[in-house]
Amino acid sequence: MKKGFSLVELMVVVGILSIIMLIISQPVAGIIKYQRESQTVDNMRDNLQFVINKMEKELKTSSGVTAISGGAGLTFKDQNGGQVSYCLSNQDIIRIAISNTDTTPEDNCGNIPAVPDRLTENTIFKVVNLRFWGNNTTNLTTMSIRAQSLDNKDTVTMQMSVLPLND
Amino acid sequence: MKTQKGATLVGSLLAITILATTLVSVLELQTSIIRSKFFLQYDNTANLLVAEGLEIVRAIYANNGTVANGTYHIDYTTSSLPTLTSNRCSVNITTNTLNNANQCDIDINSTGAYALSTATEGNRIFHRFVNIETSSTPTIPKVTSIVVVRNPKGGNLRVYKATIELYKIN
Repeated sequence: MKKGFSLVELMVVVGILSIIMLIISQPVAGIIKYQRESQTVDNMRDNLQFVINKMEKELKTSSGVTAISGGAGLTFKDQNGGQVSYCLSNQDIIRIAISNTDTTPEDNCGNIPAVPDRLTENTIFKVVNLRFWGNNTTNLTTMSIRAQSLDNKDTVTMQMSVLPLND
Repeated sequence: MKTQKGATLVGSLLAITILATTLVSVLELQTSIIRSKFFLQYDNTANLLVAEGLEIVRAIYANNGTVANGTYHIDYTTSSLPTLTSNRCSVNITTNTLNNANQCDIDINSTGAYALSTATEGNRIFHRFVNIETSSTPTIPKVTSIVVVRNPKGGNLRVYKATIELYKIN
């Protein structure tokens, strides 16, 4: 006598299995979606951290730090005496370096080069806000960057204050 | 007569139960990972806010030449250390509690900067305070910047901190 599953038994097993799969499919889909979104935020955070560190390092050894473009940009003299500006252009942070010896800070953000030195890449995320503040009493320079994912779902804001050594 | 025996209904149900239990455990693990990711997503910002706290005190010290001992709530607009008052924000790592959180709330203001919040609600994510202690000999102020990240949905606090000593540069 050969004994295996009956049709009813098989249907009961498949039915229970289907219900279990249905129940767990929603949280699994949620986890996959979350992982994908958090990957985007991780990339944004890492990139912004890199940009903030780069700007902080340069500002530490700078002089004549001045906010330009109503606080949306910054210009200063680097340790070699050249003029450097940080600006927001086309939702990217760009760095403009001009080797002149002018003592007057210029608003270079109004004159973006054809091929600018981009610190961020707007095909990965966009910078929606770049702001600089100077504390007139302590000479502290504060920079804040707010970036948004391309689908506008995630936003990351990072901020750092620097005391330039030469001011 | 040779008998071939397949799985019984009870056997199959048992197998499904084990499978379901395993899957649920994996899902719970994933959920726990996601919960801990709440803090990870604020790691960079919290570390920058810690460093900013130290830099603000360093700038005040460079400008004034002195800083008084105590616990202070400061932001990038602070030009001199505020007068100390009682009941100030503090964190108890043993009991995992944040006292008077609303006094050191850090939030993004209308201009897009992380600054001390003036609103009364004390349920924000970031809280920052700096502690200054000066050794007697030699008199070198030691500054500790502390940022507490709180999950609004409850659970543990995460504390970030760093310490520097302030030396005068002639």
